[in-house]
Amino acid sequence: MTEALLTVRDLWKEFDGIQAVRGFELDLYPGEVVGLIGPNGAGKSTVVNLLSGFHRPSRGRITFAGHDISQARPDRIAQLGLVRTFQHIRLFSELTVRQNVEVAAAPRLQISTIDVALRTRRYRREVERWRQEVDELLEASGLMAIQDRPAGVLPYGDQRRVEIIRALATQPRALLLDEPAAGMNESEAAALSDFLEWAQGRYGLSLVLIEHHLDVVERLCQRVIVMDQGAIIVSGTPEEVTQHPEVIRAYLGEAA
Amino acid sequence: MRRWRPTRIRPGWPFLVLAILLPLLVQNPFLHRLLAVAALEAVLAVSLNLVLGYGGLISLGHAGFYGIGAYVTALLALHLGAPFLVTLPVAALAAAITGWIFARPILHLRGHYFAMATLALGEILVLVAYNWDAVTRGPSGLPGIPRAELFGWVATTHRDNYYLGLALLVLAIVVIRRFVDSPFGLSLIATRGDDQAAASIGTDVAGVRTMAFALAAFFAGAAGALYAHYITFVSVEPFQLTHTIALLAMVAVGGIATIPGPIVGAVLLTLLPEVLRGLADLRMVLYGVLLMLVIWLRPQGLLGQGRLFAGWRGRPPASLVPQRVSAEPNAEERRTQPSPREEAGAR
Repeated sequence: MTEALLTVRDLWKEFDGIQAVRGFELDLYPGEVVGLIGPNGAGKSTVVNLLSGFHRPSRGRITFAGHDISQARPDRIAQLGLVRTFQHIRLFSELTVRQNVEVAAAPRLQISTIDVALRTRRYRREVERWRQEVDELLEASGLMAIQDRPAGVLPYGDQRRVEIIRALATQPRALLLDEPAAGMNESEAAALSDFLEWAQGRYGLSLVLIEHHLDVVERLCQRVIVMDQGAIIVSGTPEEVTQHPEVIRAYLGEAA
Repeated sequence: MRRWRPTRIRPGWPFLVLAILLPLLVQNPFLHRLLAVAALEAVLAVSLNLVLGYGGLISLGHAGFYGIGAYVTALLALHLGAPFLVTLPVAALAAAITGWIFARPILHLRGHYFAMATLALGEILVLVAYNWDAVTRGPSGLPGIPRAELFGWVATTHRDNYYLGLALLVLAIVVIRRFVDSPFGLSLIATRGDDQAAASIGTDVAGVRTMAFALAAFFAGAAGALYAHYITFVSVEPFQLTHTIALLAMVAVGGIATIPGPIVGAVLLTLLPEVLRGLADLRMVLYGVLLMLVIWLRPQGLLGQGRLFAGWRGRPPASLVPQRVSAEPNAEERRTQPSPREEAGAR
């Protein structure tokens, strides 16, 4: 069996005496798509914040691609290839679509301030490579037509796509998507599923997908983890999980 | 090639030709003196704008880096007899290194706290210069600094010193524009918008900000070296907070986060008090009124983007509204209301 890309063991997070995450565990294998569902306040977003370095765990160990990232900074974690998106889209709204993607591709450039000031040959070569990478990504994702529009004025669905493409520009190995279909209707959510399926297949990504749209989860995920009140209550295939009485009570029951 | 530029920069060649010819055509030492001062102010404003305009960080210690450059130059020239070609780069590097060391621990501070930390730095530098008698001679200052000398040519007149200042200004513009146009500059602008989003895609937020801070300090230090050789005397007065405030006004009046804006602001605010000198006591009142008019009618600055008189309806353009910075990483979780953007999109 191949080794897990992301391993989480006994992860706990406490805020002011409230146990937001209690003993979360995860093994994410290369190319695998895992859904994370549960009612509001179950601790799903906190898990994403912990895995991406935006929160420090109170206890537990997170390993990604052989590195212990339990205490690492967000930018370091992203550079290792574990990249998150936000529940509320956070694009650079005054920059264009293209510039948003370029920012994400910039940290991998091998240039120094001296190269920038002197416009050395290495600088020109790296910038050329940078532009080509961004070109390819915009072309492949169909965003080329809107590349020069300010990201802040785009319709919601396009902003979501830009945010995901921006994450892809870091050349990640795994993405943590925090409710990418939030606020979307059925057909928009289906279009987003197509897009995620395409991106996942094309770049061979592992995904952790927090989602309330169960049709999106059932379509994309091989495995689903259900959380309630900070703890995992059940995990399994989408079919198993949606049949589980405790899930129906805690999650689906509440929604109905 | 240029489509990704954050701001469109118009070629400045005609203005450079004018800047070179003006003091040759107008033989007025008083004007030459004003131009020499304006050139140094412009270097300071352009470099401050890198941190303030593109980085979105309010630095209240910029004149302190100017002072480091001036004092390092004075001490090197007076005690070691170091020539101009040594004092200039050493002064610039000393300021840049100070900026680098100082920036690392405070860059995680946000908004007003960052401004307060830079204010403290400026004050510490002034206090050190004021009280370290053995080295700086405290309030009496350091007189007798030799004139700048380049391969046998000595910058004696106001005009000579103006040309040195102009050369430094051109260098500062070229380097800072290259930085802003580079992937680093784009990352810097991204961190201004949302530093957490930038970090989430691998941007070394502290690294890119430190780089900008040190680069700005570098040119402020170089301007300090020119100042010391030009005035031939250094004391604490020009390096205090009031000067930094004047520089902030230059950047704001000329146009924040543009390349030509701070230059125009520096020239205007240096010349204006002299033009108004005939009005005697009314001079500073009129100066203040003019400043307020600019801020009221054109809050993005004279050369800022947007239509003329954008502020006529009393609403600042979006680029000047302070960016949202959430103090805690979990702030987004606490938000229960959907954002306006989300509501708009969900329709």
